[in-house]
Parts: sequence; C-alpha cells; structure tokens
Amino acid sequence: MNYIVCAEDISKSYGSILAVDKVSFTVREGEFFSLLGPSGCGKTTILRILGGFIEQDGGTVSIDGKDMKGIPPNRRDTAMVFQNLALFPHMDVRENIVYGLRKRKFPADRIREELNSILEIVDLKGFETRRISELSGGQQQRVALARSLIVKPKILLLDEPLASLDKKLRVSMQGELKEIQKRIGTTFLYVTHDQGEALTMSDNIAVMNKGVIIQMGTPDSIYNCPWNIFTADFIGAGNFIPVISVEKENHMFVLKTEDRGRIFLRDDFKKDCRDFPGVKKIQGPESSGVKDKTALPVFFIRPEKIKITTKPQRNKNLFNGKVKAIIFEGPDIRLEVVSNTLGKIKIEVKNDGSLPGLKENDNLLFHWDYIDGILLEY
Amino acid sequence: MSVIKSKNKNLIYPGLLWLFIFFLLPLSVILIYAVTAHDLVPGESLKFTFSNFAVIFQKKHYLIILLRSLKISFLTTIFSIIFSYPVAYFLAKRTKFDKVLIVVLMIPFWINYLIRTFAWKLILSENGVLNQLLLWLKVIDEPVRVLYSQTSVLLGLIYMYTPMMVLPLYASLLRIDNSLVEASQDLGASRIRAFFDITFKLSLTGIFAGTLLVFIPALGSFAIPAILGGTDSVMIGNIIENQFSRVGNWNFGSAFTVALAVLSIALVLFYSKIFGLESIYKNKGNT
Ligand SMILES: Nc1ncnc2c1ncn2[C@@H]1O[C@H](COP(=O)(O)OP(=O)(O)OP(=O)(O)O)[C@@H](O)[C@H]1O
Ligand SMILES: [Mg+2]
Repeated sequence: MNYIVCAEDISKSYGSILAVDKVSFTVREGEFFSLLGPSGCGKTTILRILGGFIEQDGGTVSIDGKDMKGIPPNRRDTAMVFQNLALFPHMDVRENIVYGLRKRKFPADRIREELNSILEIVDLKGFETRRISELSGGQQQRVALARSLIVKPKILLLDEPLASLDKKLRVSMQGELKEIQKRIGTTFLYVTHDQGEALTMSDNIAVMNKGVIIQMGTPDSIYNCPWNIFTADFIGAGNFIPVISVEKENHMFVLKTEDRGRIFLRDDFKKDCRDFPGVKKIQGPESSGVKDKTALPVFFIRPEKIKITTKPQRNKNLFNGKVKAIIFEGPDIRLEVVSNTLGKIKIEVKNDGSLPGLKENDNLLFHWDYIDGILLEY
Repeated sequence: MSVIKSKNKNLIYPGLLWLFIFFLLPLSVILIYAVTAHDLVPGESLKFTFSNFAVIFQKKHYLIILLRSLKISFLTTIFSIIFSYPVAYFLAKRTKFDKVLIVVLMIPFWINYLIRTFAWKLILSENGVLNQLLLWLKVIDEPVRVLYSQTSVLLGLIYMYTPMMVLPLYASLLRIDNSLVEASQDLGASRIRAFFDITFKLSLTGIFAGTLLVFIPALGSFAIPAILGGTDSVMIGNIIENQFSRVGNWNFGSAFTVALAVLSIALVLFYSKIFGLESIYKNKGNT
C-alpha cells in the first residue's frame, strides 16, 4: 500500500498561537481519512497547509512522494471543498463545475464529456444553467464537490463541507459522499468536528485537540479503545469513574472507587486494542488518601455496555442504583442512574420492550462483564 | 416604528415643503422655460415652442462642446478607475487600518472644492509647483503650459471625482470572500488569472456604481473647466452657466439643462442595460 500523503512534524503558528504542533500522519491511496477535533484545534490549518494556501513553519508534507515545499495550490494534485463552499457567485452551475478544466485548457468536447459524467455522479443533471443562488444547500454542496472532483485530484480535501446543512440532509449527504468516494476511489481527507460523521464515513480517523493528534485509528478502535479521557469523552458518550486504588488479584484488576465501590476488570481488557499505549500509572498509590486526582487512572465504560437486570448475576460487576431520568430517544432509551458506590451512571438500552416498566426513582440492578470497560489516563 | 409613524406624521410636511421649494419648483420653472420663448411674466400667456432645442442641434459649435464633454467625462471615469483600483484594493485586502485610511482619504473634502480647484491652478501654472519641479529635475528646459487646457481640466476632474470611485470599489472588493480566490487558484488558476477571473469580475459592481458617481457629475461640471480650462475646454456646464448668468437667455439655458439631464438619464439606462448587475451575475441561456 502506498502512502499518498505523508505529513511529518508539521507545525504552524499564528503570532503567539500555536495552531498546529508537530503533527504527523499518513494517508493511504483511496482512503477516507478524517481529521476530527473540537473547534479551533487546527484542522483547517492542516488542510490549508496540504492545499498549499499557507506554508508550515516546520516539518514536511509530501504528496505522492513529492515534497510540496513552495509549490502553489494551482500546481498541487489536491482540490479543496471549502468550509463555506466558495462557489463563484458570478458563474452558473456549469461554469463553476468546468472552471478547473478550463484552466487546464481542456478542449470543449472533453469538457462536455467530463461535465456530463460528473453531473451524473453528483446527480445534478438539468441544473447546468442555474445560478448558485438558485440552489438549495444540498445542491450547492454537490456543485462544490463536482467542481473539485472534475479535475481528478489525487486527494480531495474537504473542510466540514456538511456543517451548514440541517441534520437530515447532512445524514443523507454523508451517505452520498461516502458512496461517491467508493465509486471513484479518490483519496478523501475530511475535516469535521462531528464525531458521528467521522465514525460513519471514515476508514481512518485522527483525533485532534489543541493542535496535536491525540489518537489515530479505525472508527471502531477509536470508539472502543480510546487512549485517553479526551478521546473517550469527545467520541460518543460514556461513564468516567474515578479510581482511588488499583490492585491486582490473579488475572484481575480490582479498582476501588471513592465511595467504596469495587470494580473488577480483567487484566487483558486491552487485548482487542491495537497499539494501546497502556496505562503507565496503573500501579498508582494504593492508599486512599491521594490528593492529586490526575495521578490516578479513570475507569471508563460505554453506556451501551451496561445491562439492566432483575435478578443478581454471578461473575459480573453488579451494582444497584436509583433511576433519576429516563430519556426516550426512539430506537434507544437512555437512563440516568445514581449509584451509592459509583456516582452518576449513564445506561443505554435498546427500545425492544425488554425494559421492565421502569419509572423515575425506582431502584434497579445493573451489571457489566469483567472484560468490559477500560482504564484511562488524563 | 409604528409609534413614530402614527404620532409624528406631521413631521413629514417640512420635508415635503423643502423638496417642493428647492427641487420641484425650480425644476418646473426650468421645464417651462425650456419650452417657451420668453421670460415668465405674471398675466401673460405662455407660448410653447421647441425652437430652443432646435438651436442645440443646429449649431455645430454646441455639438462639438457636447462631444468634448462626453470625451472628458469618459476619460475622467477611465482614469479614476485606473487610479482608484490599487487604492481600493489595498484598503480592502491588504491593510487592517482601512477604516482610518478612508477617513484620511476624505479629509481634503472638508475643504471647499473651489478652493481645491484654485490650488490646482497654483500647481499647474507656468511658474507653478509642477513646472518648478520638472525644471529642477531637468525633465524639461522651459516651463510647459498645462493650465487652461483640456489636460488641466481632466486633471482637476480626476482629482475631484476619483474618491467617488474609490468608495464603491472598496465596498465591492471588501465583499469578495478570500476563499473564492483561493478556490480559483486551487482549481488551477495562477494568481494573476485568479485575480481577473474572480476579484476583478466581482468588483465590476463597484466600478459600475462608481462610474455613475463619476461620469454624470463630470459631464455636468462647470466650475473646474471654468477655472482650469481654456477656450478649447469649454463644457456643457459652462454654456448653461453662461446662458443664465451672462447672456441672460434663460429659455435657451433651460433647454440645454433639460437636454443634459435627458442625455444623462439615457446614458445611465443604456449603461445599466449593458454593464448592469444582471450582466455580472448573469444567467445565461442554454448553449
Ligand atoms: N489567519 C489566522 N490568524 C490568526 N490565528 C488564526 C488564523 N487562522 C486560524 N487561527 C487560529 O489557529 C487555531 C486553529 O485554527 P483552525 O482554523 O485550524 O481551527 P479548526 O480546527 O479548523 O476550527 P473549526 O472547527 O472552528 O473550523 C485557532 O486558535 C485559530 O484562532
Ligand atoms: Mg475549520
């Protein structure tokens, strides 16, 4: 497999703001790669460096094996779909789309051919002579996509292209984008702050925070094996239970919580996580009088891993709690439960009729397997 | 809003009165003078005639002046675009201090324009600043005559009206999103190509508005050609002024005024049709 993009230690600061701090990543040819992170973490900056709109202060970017230093955007094999789309308001749909081919001096009949095939792909037949202002958000979106795809870039850079659409359209465009990407096989480098979007569309995700890549991997490894509290918190929902001591008994960690709860966790909990860096502080201070909380790990478990039960279960982590809120979400039901030993716990169950007529302030039993959950550091 | 509207309706009357006395009334007087043969005297009946207009088109002299006025205004507009574009571009795209700089740019306008025009006389006269400078730089051996020519009128008009071009141009450039230019480069355009494809084309709205603000007043100007011009640079405005204040033929002066107004309006309409917003944000038919 070839790496089509190699970014090595790239940094960029704006005055005193370090927007990107020694970021390295690689993207394979044909891959859907996402940069995911909260607002202001440097995603756009990285994309603009790759596109050639700004130059990095340090580090190297190579595309298809060639160092990109000093090469302007018009001589790079990249095309960008801008955060605000940047469609040319004084041109109609067709002129927008064929703009890149015109600049490449394609003959008229080639242009017509390419235009027809791209209109087919983005499903915009019949809109050629519309003005940009006469299109819906989703259609504008597709024009922007077509305009960039028609020049057959090696890498398509997309900067939160769906951010301005409403939820329903966004979800359908996510599907379409992924579909198009599969069909034409172009490498997509996708920037988003929407974790759901990144999880559904990407082959690989780089999670960013404050100008640094925190974790990289496939959507399922990022979701199931977050390396740290930031990733776990940013992707999906979860329960973070502070631990005050960790002991090892046979093949089991015994974790004590502040309120004298005991959680068992199999010591091979990370066996499905590739490249898991491990928890350095796992043998933290064993006395309960620790002041510095950050010196200790945190037990993390996803709400959907927790099950509700009516009768006690053997060989599981079993707790009781009181229902504080029941939130109906259609396919799922979310429960907020307070446990004496664990604190607040979020539980998510399928809306399959198995919930035994729970009301607020009811007591309930819940449990999870010894293998579920993960130990995280700050 | 509605409170103001309903309770203070009477406030509109002074405004209407003002408009009537200072705009509609003189305008009607001019219109009446233009189509009659004599002065307005109470009690006497009006004799309608188009002879005032006929004179304009019969005398070759007037046609020459008309064409000259069009030429001078046209050149003024062209040069004002050339001079104001870099300024407007710098203000809109290259500096953070644009708001302050625009105020600075406008400072000369706090001074009466006649005074500024006389200042140009000092600059352009035979032993004026310009000639002194050129002599000192040894570009010329003896003073050149710039003053009282079409050149000096043109210089004066360009100086006076270029700011009228800078402002709308600046506004239109400010509205152009940088990402449009970047998108153009991204799709294969060089920096220069991207400038002409995107920035320049989208700034045509500003040039369009600026042209109206420069060309029309320049066409009707009379003080600048009167002060800086000579016999070869008389413009329509001077003829009109002459008819009213020296010759005393108000009928003919009014006819000329009306003709100028009609010409201006016609030019604006024609110009809007060709270069208007529609043509910039065009919606071309199928091809
Ligand atoms: N031109 C600029 N001048 C100064 N600071 C900038 C500039 N562009 C970005 N920054 C700063 O750099 C940091 C990263 O910005 P960037 O645009 O890359 O964030 P982002 O991850 O794309 O955010 P968002 O999701 O909101 O688009 C931010 O702190 C931002 O304020
Ligand atoms: Mg951004």
